[in-house]
Amino acid sequence: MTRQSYFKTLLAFTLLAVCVAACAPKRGPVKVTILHTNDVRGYTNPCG
Amino acid sequence: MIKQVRDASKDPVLLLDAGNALIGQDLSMKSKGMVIVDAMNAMGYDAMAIGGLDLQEGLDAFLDAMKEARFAAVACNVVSIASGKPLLQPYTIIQRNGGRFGILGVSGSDLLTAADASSRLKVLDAVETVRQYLPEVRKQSDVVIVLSQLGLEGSKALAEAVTGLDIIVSGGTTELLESPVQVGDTLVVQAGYNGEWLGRLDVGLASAGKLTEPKVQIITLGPEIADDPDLAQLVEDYKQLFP
Repeated sequence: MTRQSYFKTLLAFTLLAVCVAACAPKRGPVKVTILHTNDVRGYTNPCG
Repeated sequence: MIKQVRDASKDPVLLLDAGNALIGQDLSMKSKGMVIVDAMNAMGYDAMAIGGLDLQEGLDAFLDAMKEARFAAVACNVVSIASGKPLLQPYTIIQRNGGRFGILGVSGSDLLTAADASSRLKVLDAVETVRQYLPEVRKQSDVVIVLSQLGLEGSKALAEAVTGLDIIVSGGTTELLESPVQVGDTLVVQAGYNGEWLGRLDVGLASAGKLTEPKVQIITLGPEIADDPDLAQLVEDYKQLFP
């Protein structure tokens, strides 16, 4: 491989990696409070 | 209690239920789940999964009750035999305070023990179905949450089998987790049963997509917490309707 073709290949892979990172779905940053219940079983007054 | 948390927080607050909410106690059965649907509407629930108890008064009664719901009932693996399509929306996306939250529901096969469920519904494999929907939910979400009626061991197994779930709110069994169970990169939480506890998870998602600083609190809904007067009145009204 010539020096020129080596650098062209390296540039192509670098551009590819940048594109993949740029196109990947972005997530966050975010904070959240989740209040949760389960199996309430119809209870309207669990204390009595 | 819920109002206090919402008023105090700058961050988005979600209110979620992992199923088996609607039916069980006397008034809930007489009203075919409507007292609970109305109460959940009043409390501002965002989404719930479904379990066998929710269908105990029959599938049609459940669907009638859900017409009045102002929250999403989600189930990615429950299919109508007649239509071949999901009975409910498989997931919902909630956008709140700049955050995007994808909420999938998954039900256990015990759903089919309820009333007429086994003749009208199929419950598909939870792992395969969650895997099927995850990419489209992931594209639309910062945080992916599963409401699971698989029971705690089933929820942990789901977390083990499927990469990319951030949080599983578990139900279907009665464990009370005072701290989250970490399965790989997934946090699993569960808050008891019978409406005696409210679970609270405070967590961040960093830019790299990792959950950070999870903090779990289990709030016991004992007599020291005053009843909300509007909800108390709602229950009284239902008691008059269904003596």
